[in-house]
Amino acid sequence: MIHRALFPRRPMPHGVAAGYEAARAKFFFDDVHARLVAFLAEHGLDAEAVEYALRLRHGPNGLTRRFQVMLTLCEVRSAYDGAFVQRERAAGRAWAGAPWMALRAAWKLARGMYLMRTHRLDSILHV
Amino acid sequence: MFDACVVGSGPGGVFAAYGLRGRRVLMLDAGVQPPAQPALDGNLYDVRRSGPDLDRELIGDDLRGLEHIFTPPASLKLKSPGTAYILDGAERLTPVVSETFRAAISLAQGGLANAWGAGVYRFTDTDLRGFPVTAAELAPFYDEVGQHIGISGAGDDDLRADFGDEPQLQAPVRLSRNVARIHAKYQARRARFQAAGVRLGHARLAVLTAPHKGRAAYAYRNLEFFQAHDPAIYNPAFTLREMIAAHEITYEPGWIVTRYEETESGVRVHALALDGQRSQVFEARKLLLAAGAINSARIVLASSHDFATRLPLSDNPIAVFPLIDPRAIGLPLGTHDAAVAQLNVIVEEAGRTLQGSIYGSTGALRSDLIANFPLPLRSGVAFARVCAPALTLLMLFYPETSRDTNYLQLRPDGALRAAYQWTPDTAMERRLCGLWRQLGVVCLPQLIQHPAPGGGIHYAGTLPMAAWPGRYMTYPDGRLHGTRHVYSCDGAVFPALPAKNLTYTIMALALRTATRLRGALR
Repeated sequence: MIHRALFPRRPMPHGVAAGYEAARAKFFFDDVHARLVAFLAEHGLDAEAVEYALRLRHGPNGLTRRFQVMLTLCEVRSAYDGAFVQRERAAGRAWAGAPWMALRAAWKLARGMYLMRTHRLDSILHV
Repeated sequence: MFDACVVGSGPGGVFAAYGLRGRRVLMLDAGVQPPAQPALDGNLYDVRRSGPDLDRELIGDDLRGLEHIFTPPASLKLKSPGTAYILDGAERLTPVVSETFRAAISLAQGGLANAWGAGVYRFTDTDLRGFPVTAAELAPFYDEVGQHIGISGAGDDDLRADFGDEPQLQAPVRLSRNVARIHAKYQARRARFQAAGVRLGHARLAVLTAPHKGRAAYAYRNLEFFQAHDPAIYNPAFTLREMIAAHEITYEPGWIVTRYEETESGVRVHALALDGQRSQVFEARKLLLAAGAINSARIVLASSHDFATRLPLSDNPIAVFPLIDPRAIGLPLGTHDAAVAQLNVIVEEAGRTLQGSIYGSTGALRSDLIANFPLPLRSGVAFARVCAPALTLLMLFYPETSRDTNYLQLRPDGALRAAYQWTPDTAMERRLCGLWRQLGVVCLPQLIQHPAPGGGIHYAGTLPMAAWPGRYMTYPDGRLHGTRHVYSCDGAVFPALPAKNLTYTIMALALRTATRLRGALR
């Protein structure tokens, strides 16, 4: 779910999945956000939007840390090099993409807050 | 009995031992070594693009490279599997307890200099205000240290008066595209900046840009965040190994010095093995403490069984300014740029001098930064990719003086309790943002970061030197007040902490102390 939220068009490599499982066992197998992750997965909710809404309201949290683990596991792999390192000149595309990025942020925030409220996600976290 | 016992192998300990060569010198050190792990060969970005996956090298089989996500380190340089060893064992063996101060203590061979910024700046007489030592007295020791370690920089730019003259200076580190633009803009507006008390010039670094004493030149590989012991970046462990190989000192790794006691003829030094199971007493005519400002203070307080005294503690507070050059957004990342400091900045403001270093944005993983952006994380990945080529970072250090609120106190259980208070000067930082914008970059005060106290990792002032010292202070020759044979050779002796990196001055002062002692130890 977390990998799909970050890289929706890529299948998750076995090594990333194994690394995430190992990290889950070592760092966050039983934290309070495990219940939230399970709930999001079970209901197919937008994890990126929920993380964003939570982070803007309360700062980085257990869900953020899961995303950070996934990002790190991906970034060290050559297959993801293009996602993290700008290799070609793309200034025009970068500037043109800025309004889209702002709109997307507003949309994700609204969606995240809506999901928090309608599914009472705060109660899962006891925030 | 040894002539001298040096405690610690950081910059102070190594140059104390270096100055005592020819005498019977024992160095007691924890001496933690880098882990055996696959070494990266080549440039980080070249390897990552075309080579095998780097999960073992950058994260580690034990997932060490992910721990910082859950327990933020004092520096991103201390979080990878190849560098995290620098802090190994310290929390267990030399604990510092605090809610307001994050101490980074190293038991590694070479100490915290395994992860230093490599800035080497001579203290001027202005910097040495409060020290019972002048710049002229220190000059020959700076000369000797500088010649030994190798220094690069520009000797003729606007920072010459601030950093002093080096007899042998290698060419400065190459500037990246964005930093070169900043430098050119500054050159065009020098008068205006200087009128505002701001000067800018090439970084003065213990980083080789040409081979020196068998060490290779800096290769712009961007591995500083993942591997210690780049031969181009000076590390005290290099000098230590030379002295061991030449049988100039006796090196005893695996020991934590816990306390000492003076005798008629010298000092008995009590040490505990790293496994905590064995202890041993070593004897020497003189003891030179160089365990770092915090651990040297611990040894001194423990030797006096003093659990009441609060010793002063200083660290350079930091403000990190992200500077974005809009013209570079979306351009290719300079994957062969320097990850070390490229420029230095001096800011004179309200009677104090601040100093900063300007870095490019290569080296660190983007994943370490993405959650800091006010964006959903998938957008954050794209934002980091297109904006990283436009980003430079100014790390600005504040000077610090001894204050009652900032102190160390020994607890009966052996832990040190630390307390620290500091408030950034946000009005001054906003004003500086306005100045940086004149360098063609976007600088937003809202984006300035202030690492928690302790994040400067320039710990000093716990046993300050003075012309007429009192208890827990040191004489100008480094000798601890109330003792006959105990000397301090690290940042502990600084009575004040200018904004300059203190390491070069620690080395020069340690060499000065040792050189004087060497004559007395005939």
